[in-house]
Amino acid sequence: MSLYGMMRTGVSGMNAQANRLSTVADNIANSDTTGYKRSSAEFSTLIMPTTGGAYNSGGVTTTIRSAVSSQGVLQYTTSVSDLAVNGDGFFVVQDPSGTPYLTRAGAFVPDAQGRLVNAAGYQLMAYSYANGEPAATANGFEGLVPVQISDQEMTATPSTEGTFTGNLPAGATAVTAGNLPTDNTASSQYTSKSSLVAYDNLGNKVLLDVYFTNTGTGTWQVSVFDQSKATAGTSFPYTGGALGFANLTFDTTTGKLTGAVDSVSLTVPNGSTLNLDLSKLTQLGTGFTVSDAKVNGNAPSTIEKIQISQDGVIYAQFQDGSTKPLYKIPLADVQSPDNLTAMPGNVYVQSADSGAVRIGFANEGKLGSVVSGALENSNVDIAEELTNMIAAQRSYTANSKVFQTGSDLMDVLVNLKR
Amino acid sequence: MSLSTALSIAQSALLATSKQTSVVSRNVADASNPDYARRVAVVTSTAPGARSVEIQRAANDLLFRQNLSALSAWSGQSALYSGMDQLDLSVNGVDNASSPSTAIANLQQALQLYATTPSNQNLGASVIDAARQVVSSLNDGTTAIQDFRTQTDSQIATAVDDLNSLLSQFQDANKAVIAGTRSGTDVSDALDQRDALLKKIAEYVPVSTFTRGDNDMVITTKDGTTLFETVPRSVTFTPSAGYTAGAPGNTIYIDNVPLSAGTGDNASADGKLAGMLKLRDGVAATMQSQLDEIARGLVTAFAETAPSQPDRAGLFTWPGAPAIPAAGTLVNGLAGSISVNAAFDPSAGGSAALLRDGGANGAAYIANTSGGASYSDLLIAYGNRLDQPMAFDTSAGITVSSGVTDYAANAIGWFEGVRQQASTNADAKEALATRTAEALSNDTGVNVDQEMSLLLDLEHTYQASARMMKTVDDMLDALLSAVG
Amino acid sequence: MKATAVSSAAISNALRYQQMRMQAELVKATTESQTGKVADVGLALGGRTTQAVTFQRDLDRLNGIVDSNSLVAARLTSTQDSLGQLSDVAQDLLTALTSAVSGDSSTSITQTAGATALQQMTGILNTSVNGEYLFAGTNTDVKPIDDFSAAGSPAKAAFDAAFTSYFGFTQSDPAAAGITAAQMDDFITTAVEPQFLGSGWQANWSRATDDQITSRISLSETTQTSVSANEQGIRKLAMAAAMVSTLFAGNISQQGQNTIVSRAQKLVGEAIGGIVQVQSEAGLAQKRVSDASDRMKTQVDLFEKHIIDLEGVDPSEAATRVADLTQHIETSFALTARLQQLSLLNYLT
Repeated sequence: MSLYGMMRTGVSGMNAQANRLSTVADNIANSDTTGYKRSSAEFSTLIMPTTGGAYNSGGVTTTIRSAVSSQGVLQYTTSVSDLAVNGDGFFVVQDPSGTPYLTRAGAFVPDAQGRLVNAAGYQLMAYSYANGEPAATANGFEGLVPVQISDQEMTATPSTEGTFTGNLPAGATAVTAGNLPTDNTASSQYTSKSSLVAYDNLGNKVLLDVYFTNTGTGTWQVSVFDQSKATAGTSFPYTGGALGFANLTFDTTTGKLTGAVDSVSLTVPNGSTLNLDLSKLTQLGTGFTVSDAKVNGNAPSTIEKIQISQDGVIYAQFQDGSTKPLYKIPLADVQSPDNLTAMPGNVYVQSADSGAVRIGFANEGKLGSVVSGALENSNVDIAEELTNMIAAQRSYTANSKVFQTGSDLMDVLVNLKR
Repeated sequence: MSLSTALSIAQSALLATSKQTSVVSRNVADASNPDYARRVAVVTSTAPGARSVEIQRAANDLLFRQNLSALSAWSGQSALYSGMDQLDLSVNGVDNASSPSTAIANLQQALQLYATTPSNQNLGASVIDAARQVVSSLNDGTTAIQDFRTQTDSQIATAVDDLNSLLSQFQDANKAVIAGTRSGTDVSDALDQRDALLKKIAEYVPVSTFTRGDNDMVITTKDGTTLFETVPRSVTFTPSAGYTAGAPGNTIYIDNVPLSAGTGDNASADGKLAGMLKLRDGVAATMQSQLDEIARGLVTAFAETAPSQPDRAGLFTWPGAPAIPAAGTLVNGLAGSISVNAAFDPSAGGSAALLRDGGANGAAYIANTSGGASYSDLLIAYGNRLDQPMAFDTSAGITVSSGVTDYAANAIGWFEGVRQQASTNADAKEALATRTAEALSNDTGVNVDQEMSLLLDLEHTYQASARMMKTVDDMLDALLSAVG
Repeated sequence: MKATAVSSAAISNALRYQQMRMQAELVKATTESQTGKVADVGLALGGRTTQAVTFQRDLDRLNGIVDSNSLVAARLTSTQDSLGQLSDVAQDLLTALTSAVSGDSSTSITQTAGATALQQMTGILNTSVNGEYLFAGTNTDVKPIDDFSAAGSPAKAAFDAAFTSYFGFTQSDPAAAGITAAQMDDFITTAVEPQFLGSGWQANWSRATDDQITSRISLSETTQTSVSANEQGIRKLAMAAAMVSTLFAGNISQQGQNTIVSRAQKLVGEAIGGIVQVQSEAGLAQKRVSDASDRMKTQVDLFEKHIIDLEGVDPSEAATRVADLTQHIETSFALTARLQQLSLLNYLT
């Protein structure tokens, strides 16, 4: 119970309110900063031991909290490399010296080297697909590399497998032996023909002629030729003969394929072995129809643009429309995001209180999803800050009145001796 | 919730509304484009306060396929029918005026008149004139038919070129669709373009399609030949420089598979190419055979006969003269090479009296042994022989046994029968094509009134959002004045 | 409740398509109402066009044959007329001969009567119509009978030669007065008859053919439509007239003359019978021709009716259709205009 104590208490109150006003100032200043998380001043009491009837006023201490775990409003933009996390995760970024940080500020743009860099100059980190589908290192930043998109080259993929689904006409006239396509003579005949595009090792398109020839009741011969070797007009004979053939047997009651052979295997010229799955062919009493036909592989082509999917995979889209995954963006979080230490540039590092960084991929647990073409707004609400400011001002005034009162009382006390 | 969130939500609402408005205005702009499918802007709300707009394209696969096949049928049928109209005019003339049938009837009348007064050489000359008319009708008919075939051939060549270029355009459109689908962007425009191209392709050949992953479309013809799969297949055709009777036309190859003109009668065709093939190798070729048979019938009917002497070509002659063509066997191109025997033709130094007396092939063939100027038996016999049933080659499409005159009339009947059938089919298929197009348009097209009412809704949403912003602004104003 | 969407394009296209069809119909109906025939016969009849073509062709042929039949009929009428005149000539000759038998007339009168009959007969037989000699058989461009009395007539020469060779002297020779009736009779039978009734006729007298003109008088009927100068009746008349005109001129004995007259009388009698026979045959042919023409005219009517049945259009029906279509098109235009005005846009201000 002392006037000094009381005055100190008033001062500590004024300091606390000043802190609070500082956070308000910060918040209002950063109310439009992407990925900014609102700070707030939390107060706690300091209590002096009281003896007998004497009350010793204590004080107030300030703890600054950041509302890191509070989601900001997503604002949509037109740039695919603008990223936002819709959930609890953080992007992993590094500064130019290579120190990793966590951030929610995802306004990335490619720099001169093709690295994705956000407004504060931090580079986006991700796992590369160079060695196949990446797995996250759960407890550290190992294996993460800066995303760099400029010099990605597409290698051509040769065709290795394909499917052909359709119906072969059940009432077809059988072609006699000796005139089959595999005999490859000018008089070769066939029942139906289709053709497919396949790719060789260099990604060149190879047109494959696929002949379906009825050889008897329920038996068909499938033969594949290279169209570029065809004779003009009727195609037969082909230079070099058939690339591959298979004899199929159909059940004459169900029209389904029976027997062991349900595919044809061939070697694409200058390419790899292509296995054409024919298991879904039927032989029914209608005409020749093709209901599905596909062969994998693709031609080489340069990157046209990048796409980022919701699970954080960065795809390169090539001129022919095909896409290839390049990087997978991981999301990190900590046990207590609000206890992360904020660093300049909207980044955070783990602190003793926050718990260790855990790394996973989007859509795992509470990490949330990666939203391409959107930015996370600051979660500051101006109205709240303004009201906080008014409250802080009033509290400050009240505290100063306490101090003034103490000072006045001291004055009275000093004048007693006169 | 906070005022900032409210502002942000209002802002994204404005964004969504303006996107929707742009879709609506696009719809209105393309309301009369038959290849445009209506877009619908679907709004989905995602993260707090954010709404995203997805554009969906109204499509009805079933109706579209129906429309495609109706288009093929109509296009083939109208090519067939208009070709037949042209053939009819160029071979038979208006009201059959230049048809062999009319010419033969005139010949028969001239013959009758001459037979009544055989001594009158003017009448004889008029018979030769009538015979010349018959010959020119047959010759002109042959020329017209073969010209028509040549012309159709070059039209086929043009159509094949068009088809090839359509297919390569289709490749571009298909690529755009695949790329867009893979990257998840709005592919509506590319789909519109691809569908429009598909409609045009379907006019040439009947197609069936299936789509693979990433909206990649594969086109095959109705009988399963690949037209387009990743890359267009080549459609090849070599036009002939000219046609002669009985000469078969060149085949159209799609992916090296010969395109068939299709089964069924002469009067229906599926796809423009098949229609033109049918015209070239079906109707026109059969007409030619019939003309050839008429010509053969005439040579036979006017042959000079004598006991124990072989029959010899008389008034009408041909390159195989003096023999007459074998009975009941088609001689290709005879209608083009038939001519009036110079021995009978006064203008070529011959004498029409030979027709009355016989003997163009030597004294053994003289029928008028007494030399009477009014000898009419042979003339009457010729008149009779025109009506006498004789054997005609059934491959020419007319199986009824009849005389030459009736055969010529039957030829007209046969052709008109096919033409009528083709016309009926064309009407039916046009109606179907129109109906399916209408159904498709109703299902996927734009109704401007509907779009306008949508626009009203959007306007209200926009106004409400703007109002919201204003309100929040007012509230913040109030707060700021409290601070000040 | 199911609301069926209607697109703006469909609304205007449906009307446009209908208008197009109706206008095409209108063109057709207008043509039909003007011509009374279907606009496109081939399209309307299809395979039955054969019938229309055949009917039209047969109709034209029938009309042609009817026309040519009138030519034939004209020829037959002239023939009939000429045959009547021939008959008169024969009758006159018979009268002259009869009076010669009764001794009422002189030799020269009888001779003149014979010569006249011969000339008249020659004239009649050489009648030509349209440049065709009626009695020439099929040899119509040649005058069938030469003038017997003209100088250098082969018939006269042959006759005279026959006389001289039989009797050894000419008719004017005085020795002729000694010819007996039997001699004369034999002369006529053995020397004169072959000249007229045998091969001598065509050698010296007639250039007509035996076969006659055949004509088609209907689609399926032919008939002989001329009379040849080679008919027996005509030959007999010629023979009688020639005998009388030639032999009465010289010094033939009374006996001989009497034989000639009696033979001539008999011949003329037979000739008249023969001519009547030919006349009736010609009459039959005339009747066949006119019957055929009548029949064909009926057929023509029938065919015309058939053709109208096939190709014809009821003009009033066509006219009604034109009116209907015009009205429909007008309605359609009005509707189009109304529908174009019907837009929500008009209510949004």
